[in-house]
Amino acid sequence: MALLSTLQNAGNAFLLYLGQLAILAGETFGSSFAGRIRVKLVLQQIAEIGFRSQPVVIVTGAFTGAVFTAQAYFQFASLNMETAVGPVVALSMFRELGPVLTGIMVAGRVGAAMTAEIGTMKVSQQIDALRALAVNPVDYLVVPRALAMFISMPFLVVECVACGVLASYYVGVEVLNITGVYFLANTQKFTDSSDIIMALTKGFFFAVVIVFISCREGLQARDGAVGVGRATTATVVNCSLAILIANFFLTMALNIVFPAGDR
Amino acid sequence: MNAPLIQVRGLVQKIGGQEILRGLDLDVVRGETLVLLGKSGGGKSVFLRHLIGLMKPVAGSIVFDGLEVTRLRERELEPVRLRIGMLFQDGALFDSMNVFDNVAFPLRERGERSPAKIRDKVAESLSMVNMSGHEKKMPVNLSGGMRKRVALARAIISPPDVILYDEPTAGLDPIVSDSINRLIRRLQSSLNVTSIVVTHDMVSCYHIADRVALLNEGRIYFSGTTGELRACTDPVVRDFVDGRSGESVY
Repeated sequence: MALLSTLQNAGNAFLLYLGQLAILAGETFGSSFAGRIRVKLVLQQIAEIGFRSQPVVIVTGAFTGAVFTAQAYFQFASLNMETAVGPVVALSMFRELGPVLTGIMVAGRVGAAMTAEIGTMKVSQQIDALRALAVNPVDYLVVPRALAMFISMPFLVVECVACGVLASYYVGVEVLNITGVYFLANTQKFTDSSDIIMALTKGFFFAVVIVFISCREGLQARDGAVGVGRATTATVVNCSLAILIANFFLTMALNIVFPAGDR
Repeated sequence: MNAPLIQVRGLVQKIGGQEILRGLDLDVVRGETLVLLGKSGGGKSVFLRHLIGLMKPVAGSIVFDGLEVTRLRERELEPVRLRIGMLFQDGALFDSMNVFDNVAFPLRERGERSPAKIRDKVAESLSMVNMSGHEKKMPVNLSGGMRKRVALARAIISPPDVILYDEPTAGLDPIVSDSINRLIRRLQSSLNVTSIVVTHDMVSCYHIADRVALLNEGRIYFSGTTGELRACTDPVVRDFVDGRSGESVY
């Protein structure tokens, strides 16, 4: 009985959480379509989210591509399939690793910062001050972050994937002596525009996940510094889990539109 | 007597299962300075937050200039909030902006784009609160009294009809408190605003009040002028005014 009650409470809390995210998303899209957009704040957030996240995303993409190439080579070399390393790494980077790793890195770097900033404003009454000055906090705080995230994330995903593929080429051809012409030819043969569309689509969805989870945690923060710390941790954990779970469903759905083996 | 600008009837609020306001009734007349006294944690700040729609009551009504505030949704409250300025207890300045940008914030948000006009109005507002010359400082580098004065400059830059002060002198030394009290008086005479001041500082109360209300057990227990407060013999009122806890130190 106690277990049932606990499960019911957890289910209710989860539904409430999803409801709050949906309301926040609805208000944000509503404000955006109503034109309540502060262009200066959007540009500031693009600099913060897009521009300043580049080093993290580049390093993540490059070293993932490099290590994946090395591991694939060690396995494929015994089967004399070294030239398959290029397409395997490229497809993985485009379809899975690029968007997921970018999402997780951006959640850690940007999502946590969003929650901490908005949460600190919440517990120090700055959000109440905004409301008292007749400024809607969603318009002022969430809309610019959401738009900046939607614009920046696809670029970051492309950057991550590009660095991964370039690093793969360098490690495969220059370090592990795979024939460059075959590496490139096979990579081109097995990848096409649908892989790029898949990467960008996932990047956009992960942007939605990160921005609304991060802003919701910040807006709900309470109990001072401890509460802000708790909210920030919740953002990183929830965003990472949501990205990994959503990635599975997106992969299954997008594979119907862009079948992987249909080359 | 003028019709009240703000009419509060039967306001009830519960926080964490505890009833903070228990059917509070209060009228505020246009142009007056009402000081709301009460014990710490007695619901004074909670009451103030209801006036501007930052909290929704469990029951009761607040009518501001003929408009029922408690039924309005967040966006519908914006026209009301444009007419009411609020000074938060700690100032609630935006810590990512310097003093100038904090004070200019309401102007920019209301569509003012001329840098010269913004500069002039910020200078005028800061000069009213004796904070000229501190424009480039960040809030973290200001003392408590300075933060409150900057917050006040922000609240009055687009002159409101009503200013709500939440503990304007709490935590300040007597000299800074006196300067804040004089400032409240001066703003009332120069801008002719209606003021509601929440405090438990009796010196401040006698200095600025046209009328005093005492909040006790979630209701208005006493309402009258400062003269009537001084003359009141009710033990609850006297204990508060004279600062008696009723406990013996020996």
